Amino acid sequence: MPKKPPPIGIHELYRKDPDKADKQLWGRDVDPLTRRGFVKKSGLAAMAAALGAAIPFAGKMPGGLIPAAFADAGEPFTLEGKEGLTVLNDRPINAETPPHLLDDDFTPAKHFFVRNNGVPPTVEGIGDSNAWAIEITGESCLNPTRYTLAELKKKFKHYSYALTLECGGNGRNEFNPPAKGNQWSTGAVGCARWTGVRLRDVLMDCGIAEDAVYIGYYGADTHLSGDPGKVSISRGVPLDKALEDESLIAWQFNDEDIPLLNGYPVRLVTGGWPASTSGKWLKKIVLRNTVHDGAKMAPPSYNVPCKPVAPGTKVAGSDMCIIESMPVKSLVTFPRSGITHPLKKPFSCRGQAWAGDRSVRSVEVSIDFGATWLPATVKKPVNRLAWQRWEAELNFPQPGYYEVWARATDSEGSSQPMLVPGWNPKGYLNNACHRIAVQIA
Amino acid sequence: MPSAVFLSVFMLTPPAYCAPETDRESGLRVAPGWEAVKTHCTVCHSAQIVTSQRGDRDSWTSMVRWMQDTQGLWQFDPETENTILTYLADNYPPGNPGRRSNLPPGELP
Repeated sequence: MPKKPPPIGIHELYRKDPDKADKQLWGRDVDPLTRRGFVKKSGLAAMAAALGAAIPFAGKMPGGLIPAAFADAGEPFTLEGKEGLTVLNDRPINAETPPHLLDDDFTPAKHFFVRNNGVPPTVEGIGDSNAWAIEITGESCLNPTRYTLAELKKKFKHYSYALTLECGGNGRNEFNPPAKGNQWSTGAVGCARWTGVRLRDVLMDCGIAEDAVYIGYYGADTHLSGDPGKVSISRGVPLDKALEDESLIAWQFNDEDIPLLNGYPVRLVTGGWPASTSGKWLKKIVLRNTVHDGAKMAPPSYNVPCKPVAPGTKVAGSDMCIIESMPVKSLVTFPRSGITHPLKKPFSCRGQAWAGDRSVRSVEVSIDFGATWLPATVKKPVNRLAWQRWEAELNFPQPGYYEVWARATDSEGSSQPMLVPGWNPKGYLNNACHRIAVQIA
Repeated sequence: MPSAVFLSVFMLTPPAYCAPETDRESGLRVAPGWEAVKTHCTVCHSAQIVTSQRGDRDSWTSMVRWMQDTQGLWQFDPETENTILTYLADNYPPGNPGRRSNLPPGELP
């Protein structure tokens, strides 16, 4: 069970107590008389390291001041329980993973992205996780039932699957005109090994009425406005998706408790679909005889135009369709963008590729801006809906600036575009190929 | 070497023309209307979700309406609404990145 308090953002830290924030984040103490400078060198070193630059006038820097680079851009700094993530928003907490930290087969908890819509419950508020109750109900549930987590663990068979979760808005920052919402670049994705019971087994235990077509979830997170009558998010999936082998009510993440920010003590995991369908801090599941109408099911949230539209078009809600499977996509997770590499040394690169409900058939890489493509080797997924490792070895013709582009193709023959794909009002489903820069010397 | 000293001082001086002053607490650009935005917009959410977005006046208006219609944001009097929308549209307007931008400076060699 996570014992640490929930992390708070840099602005919140500084808002509460600027001096304490200086001390907590950087180990910084200012001169007690001038309120400027750094008494110990370690604080300056920590801040400079995070900035990636020396601070020439450090002695003049007032205490309690957020470096402008962070105040403006939400640059990386450490959230408790998380490492190396880029914080996009500190209330609600939204943080993404730089591509080079997604190099593990199973993304470690500390590197798994955070996409919160509301305020998560606290560890104290959650209390004994085994006593946590989950209710299965709804108009298409024949025998509404309430289980504790302990009862779920005892009554149903356990399954573990590696499942890829990606936010529907991953890549939003490339759309033009700009799309509303957290400006994710490439890092709202991860693949972990989730352990739990099959949602299907639990729903069947409660009786699925013949008219059931959809499920919806409710979680214990509260609305940002503080209004107890408002639900921050309550989404779901069609019954067919809910009944798949890999759709889980999960309480473990890589064989440990799920991180608090990612849904502790228990959550839904419906891999391959927008991660917003995988409800966190799960309290209730409803079996519905209609498309679930919870918060953020309706357009524009997690909807795209049913027919393609020109950039900037105003689209009526009635012309929007709910996103289902995520599209084929890949990342270069090694090396990190920006490295310099000697011409004569072989250049190995690798990454992850995934394709929503489908699998990845092939990955190709290009070092000439997409003019020619070379095949990479792609491993089979460890199970359905897990991402797949790809690897390639490249040779460069001469020194200079190169970009390595990766392009995956799914089991149905769909490939990633090189440009940003179809514009949509909320900036979902950008699966344009990932690029890293390499200087060959 | 006076010229070198001059050059280094010049380079280290914050370039005011391209780095507008920001409110140290919220990160909002200090420009007419910023206090109203801070007062009304950071009650529920961080100012980061404001400073990271770009949009024209229509786009900012639709964000405000969505928050009023579904997220519990209160109604503004017309003057306040005009102040807020003008500030947002002027200080956080859309850029023109095209269909794909160059890789950002932090990812370059």
